[in-house]
Amino acid sequence: MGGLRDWVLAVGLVLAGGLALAGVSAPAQARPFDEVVEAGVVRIVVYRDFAPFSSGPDDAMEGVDVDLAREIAKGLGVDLHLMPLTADENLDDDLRNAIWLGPRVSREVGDIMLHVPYDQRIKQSNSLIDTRNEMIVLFSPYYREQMVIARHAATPRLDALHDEDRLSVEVDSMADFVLSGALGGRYRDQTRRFIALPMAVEDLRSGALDGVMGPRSEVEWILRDVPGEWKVSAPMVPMMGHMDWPLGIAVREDSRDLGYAVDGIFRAMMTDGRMASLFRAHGLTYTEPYP
Amino acid sequence: MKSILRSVTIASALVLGATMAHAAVTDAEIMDDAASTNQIVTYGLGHQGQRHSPLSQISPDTIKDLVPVWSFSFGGEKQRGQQSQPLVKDGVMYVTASYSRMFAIDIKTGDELWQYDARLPDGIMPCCDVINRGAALWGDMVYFATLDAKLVALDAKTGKVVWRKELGDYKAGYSATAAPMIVNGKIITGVSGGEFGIVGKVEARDAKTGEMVWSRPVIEGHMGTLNGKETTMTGVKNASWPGDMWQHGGGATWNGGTYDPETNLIFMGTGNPAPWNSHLRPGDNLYTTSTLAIDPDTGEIKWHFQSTPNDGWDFDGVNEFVLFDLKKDGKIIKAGAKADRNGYFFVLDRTNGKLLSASPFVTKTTWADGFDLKTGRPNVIPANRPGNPANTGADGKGSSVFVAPAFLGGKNWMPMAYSPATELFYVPANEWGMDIWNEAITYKKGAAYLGAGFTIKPLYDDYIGALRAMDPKTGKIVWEYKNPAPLWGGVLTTGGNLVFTGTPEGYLKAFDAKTGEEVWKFNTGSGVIGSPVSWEQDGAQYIAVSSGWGGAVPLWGGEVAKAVKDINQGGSVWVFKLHGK
Repeated sequence: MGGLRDWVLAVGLVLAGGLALAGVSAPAQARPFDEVVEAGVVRIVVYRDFAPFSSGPDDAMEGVDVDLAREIAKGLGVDLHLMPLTADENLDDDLRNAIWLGPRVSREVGDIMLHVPYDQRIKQSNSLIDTRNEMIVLFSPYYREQMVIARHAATPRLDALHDEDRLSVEVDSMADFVLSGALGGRYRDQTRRFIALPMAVEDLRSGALDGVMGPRSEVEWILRDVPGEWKVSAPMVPMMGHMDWPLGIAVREDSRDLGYAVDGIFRAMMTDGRMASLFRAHGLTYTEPYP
Repeated sequence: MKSILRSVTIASALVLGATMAHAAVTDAEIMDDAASTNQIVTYGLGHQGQRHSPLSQISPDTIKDLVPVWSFSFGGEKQRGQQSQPLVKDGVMYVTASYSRMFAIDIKTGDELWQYDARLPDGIMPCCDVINRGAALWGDMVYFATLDAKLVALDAKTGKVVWRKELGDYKAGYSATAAPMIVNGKIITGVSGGEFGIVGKVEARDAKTGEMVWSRPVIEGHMGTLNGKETTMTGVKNASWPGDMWQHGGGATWNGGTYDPETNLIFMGTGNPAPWNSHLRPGDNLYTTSTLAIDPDTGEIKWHFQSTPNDGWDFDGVNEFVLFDLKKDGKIIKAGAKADRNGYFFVLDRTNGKLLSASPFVTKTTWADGFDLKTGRPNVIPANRPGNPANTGADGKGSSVFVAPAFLGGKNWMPMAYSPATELFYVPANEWGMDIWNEAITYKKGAAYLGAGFTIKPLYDDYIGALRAMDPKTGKIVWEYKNPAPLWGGVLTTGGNLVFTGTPEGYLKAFDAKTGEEVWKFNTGSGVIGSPVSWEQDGAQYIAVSSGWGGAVPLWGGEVAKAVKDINQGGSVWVFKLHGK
C-alpha cells in the first residue's frame, strides 16, 4: 500500500506542476488523493434504484457497485460516504450532478463516480471540434456490459425473434430503440415497455411475456426469480452488430491521482480473481473489460 | 443591545402583520380580475390571459417620471431564475421565487410580512432550472406548486401551510413550476416532467381541502377520473400511438392554462411526445403538442388543436392560449390566440377549436410550409425532419439537419400580452435555429443509448430576441423591437398605450403600444425573465417585476451562450410608480 501511495503522490506532483505552469489554479472543490486521505473519508457516487449494482434505501444500499465502493475505501484506508444519485436524462447530466457541479438543491459532489462507460469519445461532441465533459476524466474499466436477449430459445440474430414474441424492455433504452426501430419496426407493437426491468418479473413468471432485452447484468438479475430454462444470447442487430461496452469510473479532471489509486485497487482485484467472485456472489456473469 | 433590537424588529413585524387585513378572495373577484385595477388575484391579470391593465396614469407622456419605489431581495444563495408574476391583494404582494419560495411583502414599505421555503429533496430533476412562475389566491389562502411536484396551500396572513398535496412522484421525474388557476372553487394544475416515462395530466382539486375532484391524463388510452371514479378514456387507445407507447407518451402540461367564463372551458397546452425519435412512434401521438379545451366541472375534453403532429423537433405545444374577441368582417368571433414553439401564431375559434389562421411570427419556419386551414394540419417539409437513427451508418452518425426555430422555440414559456385598445398581440419571440443529428455516442444509466445531438445557433448577428406586435386579423407584424440576447420574460400591456417587457441584459423596458418606440428603460441589476404587472394603490399606478437571470437559456448554451455569458444572476422584485404620485 505504501508503495502505491508513493507512486500516486509522484504522479500528483507532476500534474500539479503542469497545472501551475499553465497558470491554472485548482478549484476549491477539488478532492485529489491527498485531501481524501487527509479527510479520512471518500465520497463515492452510485446510481439509485439500480439493481444489481446499487439499490435499496439510501442508508442501506446494496449491490456490486456498493461492494466495490467499500473495496475502494478499504484500499485507500479511509471511511466510505456513499452518495446515491438519481439518474438524469444522459451521462453528461449524471457526470455534472455527480462530480463537477452537484445536484440543483444540495450542490454536493462526490470524489468518484462508479458505473461510467469507459469510452473516451464521450469527451468529444459530434462535431469533433467542441469538447464536452471537460471537467472529468475516465479511469479504470472494471467489467464489460453487453446487450442481450433472454427467452426460451437462443437468439443469435435479432431476426431469430418470432413476430409474436413479446419482449420486455426498459422504456426509452437502447433495447427499446432496437425493438421499436430495427427491421422497419417489425417488433414495435408487441414490445412491452417498463419504467424499470424488475417491473416485468411478474409477467415473465406468468408467461404473459416471452422474454426480456437489456444489459446482461440486469437481465440475469431479474431472471433469478423466474423459473424456467432461459437462453441468454447477445444477438447481432442490423446496422449495430453486437453491442457491448466497458464500465469504469470518473473523477474530476484535477483529481487524476485519485483515479490512479482506484485503478491500482481494481487491477489487483482483477488479477487475483476477487473482482470475478464479487460479481458471481451476486449471481452475475463477470466479463473482463478487455478480452 | 443586539437582543433588544432583534425583539423590537420582531414585534414591529408582528404589529405590521396584524394591520395588513387581507379580505377573502371570492370567485367573483377572480372572474373580474381583468377589469379590476386595485388588485391582481390571477396569473395573467385575468383568466383570459391578456396581461392587460386598463390603468393609464403611466403613459408615453408621463413615463419619464417612472422611478423605483423599493426593491426586495429574495436573499440567500439562491440567486437565479426569477420567472414569477407577482399577485397583489389589499396592499400585500405575493411573489414566488426560485427554489420554490414564496414571499408576502407590504407594498407601502417593501417590508417582508412572511416567507415560505419549501424543503426540497435532493433527488429532484427539474429539466429547466429551479424556477417558479407564480401563485394563485382564493379565500384566505395563497397557493403555489413546488419543484418536487407538490401543491401547497398557505394561509395568506401567516404563510403557514394549510394543506399540501402531491401532483406527481418527483422520483418518477415529475415536477411543477406553473402558477395554479382557480375556477369556481377548484384549483386547476398541470404537471412538469422529464422527457421519458411520464404522462401529462390536468387536475382539479377542491381549493378548500385539496381533495381531488377530477384528473384528466392528456395521452390517449389513459382513463380520466371524477370524484374517485373512472369516467372516460382520453381519445381512442392506439388510434395515434403504436403498441404500448401511449403508456409513457409524455405531453407534460407544464405551463398552466387559461379559462373562459363565456364558454366555461379551460384551455391547457401539452408538451412534446416521448421518446424523442419520432420515427419510433408513427402516428399523430395525440394529445401531445396540442391545446386542449376541458370542461372545468368534469374534466372532459371538448376539443383539441394539435400544432405539431408526430413532433420530431421538441416543439412543445404548451404555450398559453390567450382569449380575445376577434372583430372581423363586422362580426365578433369568440377567439383565442397562441404563439407556438413551432414558430406559428394561431388564431382559433375558441368555441370549437377550428383553425382560423396560422401565421409565422419568426422569420424562418423550415420544418413546415404553412398550415392547411381546412384540415388544421401543417404542410410538413419531410427533408427537415431529423433522420431515423435506424437507418444510421455503422459509425452511428445520422444525417444532420438544420431546423428553425430551435427546440427552445420561436416563443418559449414566456407569456405574450394582448391590448384591447390597439387590438394587437405582443409576442416575445426569438430568432434561432438548430443543427440536430443522431448522436453516435451517448450513454444513459451506464448503458449505450442513441440520443440526439443539437447545437443552437442565432439566425442573425445583431439580435436573437424580438418583441413583435402581431395583428390577429391579418397575421402581419405591425412593429418589432430587436434585442441582442434572447427574450425570456413575460409581457404587459396597459391602458396608457404602453407595452412592458424585460430583457436578459437587465432592463425593464416600455414601448409605445402603437408605434413600438422605446420610451423608458431601467436596469434592475440582473436579467429580467419574470412577467411584469400593474395595479393601483392610494391614487398611484404601480408597476412591478421580478429580476434574476436563469431559466433554460444559460443551461443550453451553444453559440447563444456568447450573448448571455456576462449576465449576472440575481433574485429580487422591483416596484415602480411616477415620482410625486
